[in-house]
Amino acid sequence: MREYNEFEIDPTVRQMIAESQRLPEGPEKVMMLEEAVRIADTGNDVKLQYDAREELIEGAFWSGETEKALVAYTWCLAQFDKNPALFMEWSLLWRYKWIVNIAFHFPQIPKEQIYEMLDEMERRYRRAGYGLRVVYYYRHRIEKFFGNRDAAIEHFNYAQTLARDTLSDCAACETDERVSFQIYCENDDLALDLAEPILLGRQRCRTVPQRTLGHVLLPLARLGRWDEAWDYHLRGYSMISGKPSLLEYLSDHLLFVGLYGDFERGARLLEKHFDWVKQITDQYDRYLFYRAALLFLDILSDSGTATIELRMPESFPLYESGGVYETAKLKAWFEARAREIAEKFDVRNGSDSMTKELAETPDLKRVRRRAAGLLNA
Amino acid sequence: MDYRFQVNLGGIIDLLSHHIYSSPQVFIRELLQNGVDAITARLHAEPGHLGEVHIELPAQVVGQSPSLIFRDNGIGLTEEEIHLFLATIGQTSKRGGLPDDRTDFIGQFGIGLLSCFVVSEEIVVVTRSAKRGSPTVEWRGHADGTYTINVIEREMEPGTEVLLRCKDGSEEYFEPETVRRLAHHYGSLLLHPIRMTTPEGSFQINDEEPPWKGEYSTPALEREAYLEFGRQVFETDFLDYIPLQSSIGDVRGVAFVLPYSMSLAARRTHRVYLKNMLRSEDAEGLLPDWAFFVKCVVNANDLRPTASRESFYEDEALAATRDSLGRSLRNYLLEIAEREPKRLKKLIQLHYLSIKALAAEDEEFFRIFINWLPFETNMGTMTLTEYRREHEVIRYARGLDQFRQVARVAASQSLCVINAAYTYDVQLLLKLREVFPEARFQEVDGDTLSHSFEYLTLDEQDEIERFLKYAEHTLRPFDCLVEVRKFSPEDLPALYTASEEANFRRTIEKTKEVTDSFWSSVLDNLEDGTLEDADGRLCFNYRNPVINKVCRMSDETLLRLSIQVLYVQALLLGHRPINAREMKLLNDGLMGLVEWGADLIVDGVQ
Repeated sequence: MREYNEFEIDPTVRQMIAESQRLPEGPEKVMMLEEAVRIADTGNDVKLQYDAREELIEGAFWSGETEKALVAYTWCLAQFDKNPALFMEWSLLWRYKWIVNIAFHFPQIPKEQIYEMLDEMERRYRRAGYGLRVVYYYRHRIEKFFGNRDAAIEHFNYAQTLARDTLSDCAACETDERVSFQIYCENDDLALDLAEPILLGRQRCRTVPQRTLGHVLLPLARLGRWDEAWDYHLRGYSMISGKPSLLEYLSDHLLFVGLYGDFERGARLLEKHFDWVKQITDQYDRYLFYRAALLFLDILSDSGTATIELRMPESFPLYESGGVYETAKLKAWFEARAREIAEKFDVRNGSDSMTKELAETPDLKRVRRRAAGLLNA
Repeated sequence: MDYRFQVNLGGIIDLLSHHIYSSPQVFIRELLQNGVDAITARLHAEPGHLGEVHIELPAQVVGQSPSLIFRDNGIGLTEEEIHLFLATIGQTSKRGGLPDDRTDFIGQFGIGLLSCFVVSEEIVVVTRSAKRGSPTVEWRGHADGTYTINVIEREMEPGTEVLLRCKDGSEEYFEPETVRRLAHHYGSLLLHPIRMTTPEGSFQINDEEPPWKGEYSTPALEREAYLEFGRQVFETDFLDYIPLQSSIGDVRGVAFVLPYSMSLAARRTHRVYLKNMLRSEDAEGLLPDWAFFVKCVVNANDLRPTASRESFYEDEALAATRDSLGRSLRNYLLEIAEREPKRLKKLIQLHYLSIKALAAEDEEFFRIFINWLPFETNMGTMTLTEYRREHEVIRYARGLDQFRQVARVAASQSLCVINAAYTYDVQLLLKLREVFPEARFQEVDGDTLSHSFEYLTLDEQDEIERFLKYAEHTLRPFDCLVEVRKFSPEDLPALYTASEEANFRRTIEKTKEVTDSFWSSVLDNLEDGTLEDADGRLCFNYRNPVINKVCRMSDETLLRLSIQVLYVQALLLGHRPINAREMKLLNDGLMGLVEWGADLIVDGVQ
């Protein structure tokens, strides 16, 4: 708890920001930065309030508490518009990307508002003299999310033709985007070729190769390249297993482990990371986790495993103090959670793409590993 | 007819120097590595051969740029093999982690050599293969990609000599002291002698052995040797040392216990040798995440390096090595806990975060350490043993906010509450529950605490009916519920509590004061989906003498003004963000009270 008087607001806030930078991503860091913002707000130094919020945006975003980043960001945006000379435009515009990413992952934010955000992004980038490459990458992502395949492909191709500049995603991120796009277009081989610079360690950044190592698992599995996939799983998982904000990529791993057939590992992943779901407010990330868990449990029950031992937290609605769960019951629970979210998204998106994806999830079992003794099929 | 693209060597050098190698001085490491690899290859054919690497800095000639000669008595290269490495250069960046065979050696030789172009415009390689009857061959390569190969008339023992001539601007890399320092830095653990000759004389660079190779007659001597090694390598007086060994990955080394606390996010820098060559000073992934209380020096003979050869490829071998090294550290901690209470105390004081991190994931370790670990409470920092000695139920608040809400009131009721807002603390407490099912727990927040507040008697309730009605009415627009109870401390007039959702809503409301209509409606939508239990709760303390009087006041205006001021004061006491409406409430309330007081006096005078 901080004691301070009005003359000490600035040093107190700066001190807290410095301290927060030494903390790992997670609730403690976010709490400290929220506190810094609150203290900054007791004074009337707009610059300080802005700086503290920028740190909060950064901390909350990377800690998976994205709605807090969104709220702080809108405040900064408004202050910037009031007094552009006081703040750095580049970093504000850079983080605009995050905000778009955050916003469309919350189903309660309507479609028109997402489009409006993109238009505003385009206006702001243009006015500040930047290119629109990244804007169109985001337009493509969003159309993909909304289930508008043609528009997604069109935006992606257009983005590719625009020049890179300092607001573009870094080279490693763009490679990853191309990999994801080719997976989306069902060109697994091409996707894996494109991923090579990342997989060989020649391109990297804050989220790459972690992201890519998750993305390539399913394509590799589809192509029967299980050994490579397993290696990438080990590599990728060890890089994210301590970072709740990367729940999205973790889901790729859980999905893969189920298909690979390592049930023991799958169970450990499920129980360990179920706890993160509470922490992560991003609805789409939650959906991905529930969906991966559902597939894992589905495979498990296909293999004749009626019960599973899991250490779930007491807050889990199906909590059993003995830690033994019926596979079928668990599966139904995860399926229901995934469906709830998918339905909300579909209503918002005006499409049926997510519920359809969820309904088709069991089809992924076709790509299960058929190792000796693992399957009767 | 097949054609081949001409590889642009200049371009490749540029790429390599900017992307693969972290900095120019690695050319020394690469030359050492080439020499060692060549000796290893020769040892396969001629066991018992005595390998040596020799670095010579000839006396400088006025008007000529300085030069540097690297010599080894390894296997040498034939003309054909020189062509092979040149051909490999173009492909080397293609695949990481090449297999360890002869072609690999030649290919790596080429890449190693390329790194020299960063400091030298021209590289001259004179080599004679150990294969019977091989002539001496000279290769002269230039940074622009041109080269010549000639068989020359020169008698030499099998081996390779590399001559570099200093490029303008790279002079510092040709200073004898720099070369010695760098060669020692990278090669001090190499098994073959590295000799250096300067115009001043000749000496061996790597004449010391790492401490894990030594034999010690007493534990004290061993300790001395290890800590001295740590002092030399890291210029730090470490608290302690932990020998490391893993048969997987063929790893030997030592972890030094830091004499100061490390922050969780700090970079973990260890010195990692691969086959006795220093490869990295910040290799990741070698130790488990929790092991941030040590700095290591390790040598691995059997892990796969990545393409840049500066860190390890994350595979099962590395994962198994990490587990094995993690176990060494863990065993060390367990041993200290058992045998050396004084050192344990010091360790916990400095490195409790690391220990908490391990305890959170390791049950056995947890059982042993949990009672030693410090927790912050509203009655000061204490270990769980101390806590449990005094308090039967373990009470904790999950967030800083909850903790703050309850700290003072709980203390006045002699309830000790752990602030579990810190990293790992909640996990540890939840684990405690699993491991010691007999312990009783209670998560405390403003709500649970206020449940224990004493109710008013029926008479008292009648008395405050009117007050309650006004309070509810005044505060309803602020999403705040109102109660009157009795609780200590008496000097606290009112306690404001709110869930996280309520706090988030407050933040949104405050933000909407500045945002334009578009973003405000985005925020409204965000709020709609996330908030369920979003009301705040203001609990007035009937035991507080002022509140007690206010509750019985009949003047309507005065009642309203007091409630306004008390509400905002409670918010301020709880460090809540105050929005513009609340600010206005406070101002109106205060001004109203002042005016009322002034009127009273003026009227009284009249």
